[in-house]
Amino acid sequence: MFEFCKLKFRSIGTLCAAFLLALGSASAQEEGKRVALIIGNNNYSISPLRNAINDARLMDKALQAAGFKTILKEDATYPVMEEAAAKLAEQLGPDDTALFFYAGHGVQIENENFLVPVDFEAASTVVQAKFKCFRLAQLFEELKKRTKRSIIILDACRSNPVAERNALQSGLAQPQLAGMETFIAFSTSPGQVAADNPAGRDSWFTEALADLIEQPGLTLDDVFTRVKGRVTQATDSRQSPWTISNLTNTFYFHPPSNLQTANDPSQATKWMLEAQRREQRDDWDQAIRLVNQVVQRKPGGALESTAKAKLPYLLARKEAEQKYEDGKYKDAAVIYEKTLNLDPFAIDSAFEAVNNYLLSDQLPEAVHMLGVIRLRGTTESVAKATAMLKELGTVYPEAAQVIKTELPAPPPVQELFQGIQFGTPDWSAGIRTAQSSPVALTRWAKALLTAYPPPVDPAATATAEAKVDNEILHVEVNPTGETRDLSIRKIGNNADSPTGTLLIIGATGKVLVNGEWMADTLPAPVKLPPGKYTVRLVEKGMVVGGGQEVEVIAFQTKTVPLTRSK
Amino acid sequence: MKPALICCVVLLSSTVAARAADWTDRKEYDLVLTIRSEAAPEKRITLLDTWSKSYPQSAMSHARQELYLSTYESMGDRQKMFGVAKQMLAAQPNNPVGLYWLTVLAPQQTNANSEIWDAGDKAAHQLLASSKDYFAPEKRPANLTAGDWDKQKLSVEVLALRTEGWANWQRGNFAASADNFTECLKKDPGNAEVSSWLGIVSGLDNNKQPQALWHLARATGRELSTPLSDDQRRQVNGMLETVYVSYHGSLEGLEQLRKISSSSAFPPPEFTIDPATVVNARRAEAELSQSNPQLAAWLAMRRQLEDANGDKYFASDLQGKPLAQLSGTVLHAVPVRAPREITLSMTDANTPDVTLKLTVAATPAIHPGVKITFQGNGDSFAKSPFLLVVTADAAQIAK
Repeated sequence: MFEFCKLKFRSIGTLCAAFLLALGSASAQEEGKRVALIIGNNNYSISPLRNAINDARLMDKALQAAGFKTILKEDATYPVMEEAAAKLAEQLGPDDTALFFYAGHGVQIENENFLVPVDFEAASTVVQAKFKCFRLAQLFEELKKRTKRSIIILDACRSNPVAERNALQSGLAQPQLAGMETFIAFSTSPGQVAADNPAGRDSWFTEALADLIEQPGLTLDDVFTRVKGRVTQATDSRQSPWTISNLTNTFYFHPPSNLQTANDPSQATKWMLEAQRREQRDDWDQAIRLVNQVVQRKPGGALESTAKAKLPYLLARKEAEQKYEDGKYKDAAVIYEKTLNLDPFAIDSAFEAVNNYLLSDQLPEAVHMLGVIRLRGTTESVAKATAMLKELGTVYPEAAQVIKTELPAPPPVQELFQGIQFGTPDWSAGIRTAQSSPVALTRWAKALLTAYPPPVDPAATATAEAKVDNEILHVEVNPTGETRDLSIRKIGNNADSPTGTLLIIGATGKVLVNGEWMADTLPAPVKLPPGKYTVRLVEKGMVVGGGQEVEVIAFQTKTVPLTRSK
Repeated sequence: MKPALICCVVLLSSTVAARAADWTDRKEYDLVLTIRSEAAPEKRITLLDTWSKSYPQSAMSHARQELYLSTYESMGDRQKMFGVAKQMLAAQPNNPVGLYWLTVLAPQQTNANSEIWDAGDKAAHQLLASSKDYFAPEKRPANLTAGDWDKQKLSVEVLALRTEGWANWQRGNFAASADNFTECLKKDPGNAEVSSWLGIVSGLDNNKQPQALWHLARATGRELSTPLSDDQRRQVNGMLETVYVSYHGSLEGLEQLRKISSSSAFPPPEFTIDPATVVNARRAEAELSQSNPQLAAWLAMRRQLEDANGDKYFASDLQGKPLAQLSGTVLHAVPVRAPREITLSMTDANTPDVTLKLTVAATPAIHPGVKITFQGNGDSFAKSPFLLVVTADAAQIAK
């Protein structure tokens, strides 16, 4: 009987050791490759976008800087999207992190998410539309099979005439988590459409995201919490990015530098959480290291007292395990029993003590430990202890006596959570929280900017006014600003952006674009970012001709005849 | 079997049984033990939700709310924490845990509205009123020294004042807010965040730009006891430069301001920064003194005469004393043929500024429109309409 027990417990011990070894190897390979597929689709025939490619390029840069091998596709057709997804999947292994970023139109079809390729054409039925769009679930399925961790970021919730013209639903549906270890972020909440960024070249969402990705020491959750904050503020709550996650490990785009870690008041909390995870994996060395860091940081309050109480417990667990590995079962059992003084609810440790007492043929001590388990254990562990006592009772009658003892009522909740003093604030935790989570000042930065405009250079103003005043007849080209992405901050200066051309003919005079002289005489070719513009002939401050709205399409030239009105 | 061991177990059992009547049933205890051992905060929240749903009337509902708080804290979810603190206060209006967390978290809420401002303000007020009781010497935890206990009290009071100031600030009550933040800084001068907030509210008060610039500049310092994070520093630095350039006209002198503001939480009483208008005027004067020294001298003189202390200035510096060489355009001269009194416009050839009284008539005659240079002594002056009377010899006039 005891041989059986020994064998049984030994085999558990061996299994544990094997498990620990496996954990160790997994831990060593924790940081595998980082591979990202980035798609930005602007050039739709139905409703072109302007920022999606900029967004994709911005993310490409930010992700490369964060150590991702990137696959960037601009204006991807359906076959290109499929091919790129396959290329991403091919490069991934079980320890790798996959990231998929998409900027472009997205639609819901029958409550499923589809990404719209640039070669999408109006479909007559919903089924046809489904087969012309890229099914997101298809990518999820591939990533689920292959990676350690998947991060999906979709800036595809824009105002969407593609959807409207095809009787589809704009915005994306709330996805089901694709598999284990997946993080999904939307630029706005499911079913909503994203707000515009009239002053920017990139969407609010991607601008904030790329900026925050580059900041070291922010976890994935930190990044998106801050993205949410920035976008919500910038859009006056019209757009609220949304995330869903079942990641169980912390992911950093850029790990914290030592200096940042040293200054982050919330770091001790993060260490303690990680220590708890390590403890659950029996990774005693790492758990001890992390708890030691917490103790040295002196965070105060419950965190510090919990860490101080935890440290000797972890050291004892490590020592006990070592004794067990060395075959010194009696020593191991005594130390395991000691751990119960340090954490009376460490039921797994109590079972280890039982195991080791049995292995060293110390039945009375084993029975005592089983009695202790019955005091504080869960129903399941009490049942397990009772079963063991019954079994032991066949060869050791005293064990049966313990079973006869009435099961005690469980101890009060305060004993379970010794670090927390219920009813008394954890003052240190509040101070730490206030220091670690800065208050958003964006609104006030704007208020100050409004109250304190930059000083006007009188000389420059005078020159500019003189130029316009002196011009008797000129052509003005201005963006209409009525649709998303249209506002232009610097005309003609974005060498990377695609442009179209307006060939203005007919009248005489210079051409003034957005307040800047662009051509001295007509006919004049004027290069502009894609978008809608009004072109008008102005003389002495009065509109004397034109006034028509024209659309500039990338890489195309449009002729605009201008005549003086009668 | 060692009988002592069995006795020990039985004894322990009866002690525990006597203390523990709180659990609804054994399953509730099982659930809470599972919560205790769950390391992943998200899963812990799910388990806490299960506890709430399964045992809504649990005798440990207060403890449960505190477990929610600590779990959301480890997740960094300030909004959820705020919600829990509100629930705690709804159930028990003087709950110190609820009061404390509401105070801490109100400023951290995104999209805070008047309800949040008021809730934070009220909680902070109650916290401040009770701080003496909360931090009574007999309540000091054994692991803290009396000094540490006092420091903790001070930090909590600073947090409460900070929230009161924040609430007043959000309401647009900048003066009250500045008072709260000033109190904060008196207790905790190295608090960069509060310095930055005081800088913002002072900046929005049109009479306090130099003070605002002091506080913003100080907030960007790295040497304070509680400095800003890099993110915050970047943002506050942006505000500092915006206000500084707008107010002063350029970034000139900003580095010096950063340096001197690092020495004290508050500017000295006489502290001031020249506004751009003064800087521009001074620059223009400097340029003018190079290109047209007589006009520059006249403008400097006239500015001082028109000042509130103009009479004193005239009496001490000009009356009966030789003036710098000046030049002006003759508007009229009497008598015409041999004038003894000449009226001049010093700037625009239209407005009379100076009357020259000549001790000897000037010959030949000086006609209107002619530009003359002269020297003389101050005789008298009137502020409105402005006129300076100068006595001079005809020999001191040159065309």
